[in-house]
Amino acid sequence: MREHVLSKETLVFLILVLLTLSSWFVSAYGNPGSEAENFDGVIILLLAFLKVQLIILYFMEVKEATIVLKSLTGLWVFLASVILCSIFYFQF
Amino acid sequence: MQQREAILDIPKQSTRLPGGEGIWVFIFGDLLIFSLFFIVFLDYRAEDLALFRQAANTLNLTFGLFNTIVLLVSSWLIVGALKAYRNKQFAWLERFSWGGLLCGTLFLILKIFEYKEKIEAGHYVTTNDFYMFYFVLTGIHLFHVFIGLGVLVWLIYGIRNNPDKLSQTSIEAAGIFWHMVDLLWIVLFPLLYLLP
Repeated sequence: MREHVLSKETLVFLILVLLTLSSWFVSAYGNPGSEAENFDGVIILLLAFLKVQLIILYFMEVKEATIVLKSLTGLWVFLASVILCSIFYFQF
Repeated sequence: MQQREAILDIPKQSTRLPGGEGIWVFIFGDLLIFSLFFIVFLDYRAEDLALFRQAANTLNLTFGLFNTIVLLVSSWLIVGALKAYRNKQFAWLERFSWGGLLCGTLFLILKIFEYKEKIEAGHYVTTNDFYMFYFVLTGIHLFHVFIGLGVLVWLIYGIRNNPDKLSQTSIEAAGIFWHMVDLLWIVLFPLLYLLP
């Protein structure tokens, strides 16, 4: 138990909580009604995909996995974040 | 060649595939389907931004935020379960698995309360496009939570009755599935609750 509490996965967990609170903060105290609102949305989405990448690498143990798996998951995170941020920002 | 790598201290490429091939085929299939859902959601949102913003403001952010933290805690506990298995600490394996199961159940209960709150306020799947997406996407995610809880029950049953038959690959696969449940919510939460 002590070993797990003091592990790097615990640090990742704390970072994930911090990123969650940060995205909530951006949403609640961002720039409502201004042009910067769209930037807030992109930041919120990017924070979400940063969390996704941390979960894939450290919780799903892809960091120590074969390069093929690492590349495929990385590619999905990259493409999904770029596509979703683009649709949100440019409102296709 | 091996000698050369040893002399030059070149790190060998990992060939490890946590959980085995099957779980990753499922994970990538699921990721692709959900990616399409996310894209379609944002496309509909762009078409009727005012309605989606107004409807999103009726969601209870506290539920969404708390559910996110609950799932993150559950994922951390499942990571602990796998570590306990590797260290042959079977008592901790069971405790961590129970912790994950309880967090998943808490998520489920909170979701039911949230649905109840919405329905009582007159928001149904047919109310508008936002609520159609809200109920369908969170509903499909909830189905994943159900399966995940079933997997955790199977794991706890296995630990109690036949711990020798549990393989590392099956425990890893169970954990990866549970993290997938967490991962999907991590994208759904900002899409539905947080986007301005």
